[in-house]
Amino acid sequence: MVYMPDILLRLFNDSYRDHAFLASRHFSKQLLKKIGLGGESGIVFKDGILGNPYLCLPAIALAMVLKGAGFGMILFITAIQNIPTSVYEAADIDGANWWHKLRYITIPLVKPIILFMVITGTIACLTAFTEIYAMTTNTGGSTVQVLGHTLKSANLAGYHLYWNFSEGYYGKAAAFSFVLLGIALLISLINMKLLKSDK
Amino acid sequence: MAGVIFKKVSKIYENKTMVIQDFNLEIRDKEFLILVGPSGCGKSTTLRMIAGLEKISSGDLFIDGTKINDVAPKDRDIAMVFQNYALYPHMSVKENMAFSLKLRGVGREEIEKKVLQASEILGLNALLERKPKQLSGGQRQRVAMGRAIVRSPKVFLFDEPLSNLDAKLRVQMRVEIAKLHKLLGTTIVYVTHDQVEAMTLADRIVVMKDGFIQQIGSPLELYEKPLNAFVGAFIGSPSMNQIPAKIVVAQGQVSLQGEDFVIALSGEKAKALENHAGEEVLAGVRPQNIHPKKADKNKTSVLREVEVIEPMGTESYIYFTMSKNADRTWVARCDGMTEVQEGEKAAMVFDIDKVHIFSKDGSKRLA
Ligand SMILES: Nc1ncnc2c1ncn2[C@@H]1O[C@H](COP(=O)(O)OP(=O)(O)O)[C@@H](O)[C@H]1O
Ligand SMILES: [Mg+2]
Repeated sequence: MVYMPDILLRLFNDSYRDHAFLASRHFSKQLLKKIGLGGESGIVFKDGILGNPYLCLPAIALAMVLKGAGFGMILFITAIQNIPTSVYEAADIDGANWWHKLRYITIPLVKPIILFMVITGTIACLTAFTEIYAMTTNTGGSTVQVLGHTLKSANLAGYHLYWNFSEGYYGKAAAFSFVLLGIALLISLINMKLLKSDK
Repeated sequence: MAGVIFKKVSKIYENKTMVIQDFNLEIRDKEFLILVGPSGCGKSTTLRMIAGLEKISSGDLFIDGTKINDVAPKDRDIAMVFQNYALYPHMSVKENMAFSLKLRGVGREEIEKKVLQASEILGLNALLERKPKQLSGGQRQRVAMGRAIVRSPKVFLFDEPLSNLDAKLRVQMRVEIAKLHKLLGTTIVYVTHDQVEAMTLADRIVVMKDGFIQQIGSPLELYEKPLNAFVGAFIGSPSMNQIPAKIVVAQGQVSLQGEDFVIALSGEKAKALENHAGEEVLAGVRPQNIHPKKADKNKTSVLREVEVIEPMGTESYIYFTMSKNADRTWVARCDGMTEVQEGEKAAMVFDIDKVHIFSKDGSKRLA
């Protein structure tokens, strides 16, 4: 999901280069309408998407992706526009098709941004709270389907932490926060290894 | 056999500006052809049309006898060196040069061989593992050329390749490009705004202005017989002195008359101008065809005060006011040191047979 902004960007950058803002706004609006968040919210809460154990988690994820998409898009567009057009022209002459250009030029040159997005995205997911709280509290804490287990929707990382905290399990919450830090660090390290631009 | 032919090619950008108009040109196989002209005259556009980076609005373009109006850049078998080099910033020198071969599915060994060959020619052997940002301007320039060479294309395109280099390096790279052309024998189309580059490198030069071809010819032809005042002034350094004058014929003597000078013409020039009597013209004299002397009884000289002398060692530039009608100070160039002094009156002796006469508006050569 954290790669979503990149995919969105690829969709829009070529044809809508100068209209990126417009594009992302238009796109989100359409998307929200499609899933029923655009105004008439009957199918979203309680009996709808957020009340459904199978759809609740993806819905929250989608909301978070959309929330981060604009920021990601701006970072990616800036990075891509910083690549001189002549580099792509040189590639055209060298025989590159669109895929070659994406694979051998664009992606390597926006690697630092990818790295940044992956790390901040991962951490945002691990510590997610606002979205979960806002989207599920209203439904009376519906259940979510995670890896075959039915959990209270609230049992998700950041929110879980809050929940432990609010229930008075301070020690458990503190310990849990350390585990989260460890996981975040580990994932960041792996990302850095994988995406390290070979200097 | 890889000539490039333009047939009535025009280019109109989206904003409706006609940048190139009715462009006809035949670039010969193995020729080193240079497009030269002031900035904004459409040189790059012309080159980019050959490369396929700009669409042709009308007319036809042929490479090696094949019409390529709608052929993709990669299928035109051309290579281009950009003004800003356009190296792939994240790839090493070697990877930069190998990229096109890799995309074309050339085998690893073959790539290795070709890259080594090119880097040998260009003296890049020690730099193969470096990234572009670890190279100097001149080295980047070489890598850009290397990237073009490995492909052994039919036509090389250069867009102002030396304009980002300092003066000394520019001279050095100029020589290397000349050597490269001798070595490879590939057709080269080269764009520059620098007439010195054009004069020193080209087999033939195309002088352009405002999207139109002004003249096509060898460096010497352009220098000795400019077809209009623009070419006259553009080619040669310091540039040609020009002044409005009138052709006067009296008692069989043809002379060039200005408000404050008369220069008697003779020989072929006189003959060619006989039936232009009374006509207003534009006269041009190159600095090396004016010889400031202490004294001269010749009718081909005018007496003028020497205003400034610039000694350059092997040559000197002598500045003087030819006429109050002249739009700039005239300059004479003489070998070594000059015999005249600043502030003294000197006889400016003209090589009469080297005076260029254009129509009044400068659009046509009369003699
Ligand atoms: N993409 C473009 N869109 C519109 N006008 C352009 C474009 N590229 C160049 N021009 C115009 O075309 C003219 C010729 O440009 P160019 O070929 O780059 O000149 P040169 O290389 O001789 O300096 C200029 O007036 C320039 O402003
Ligand atoms: Mg240009």
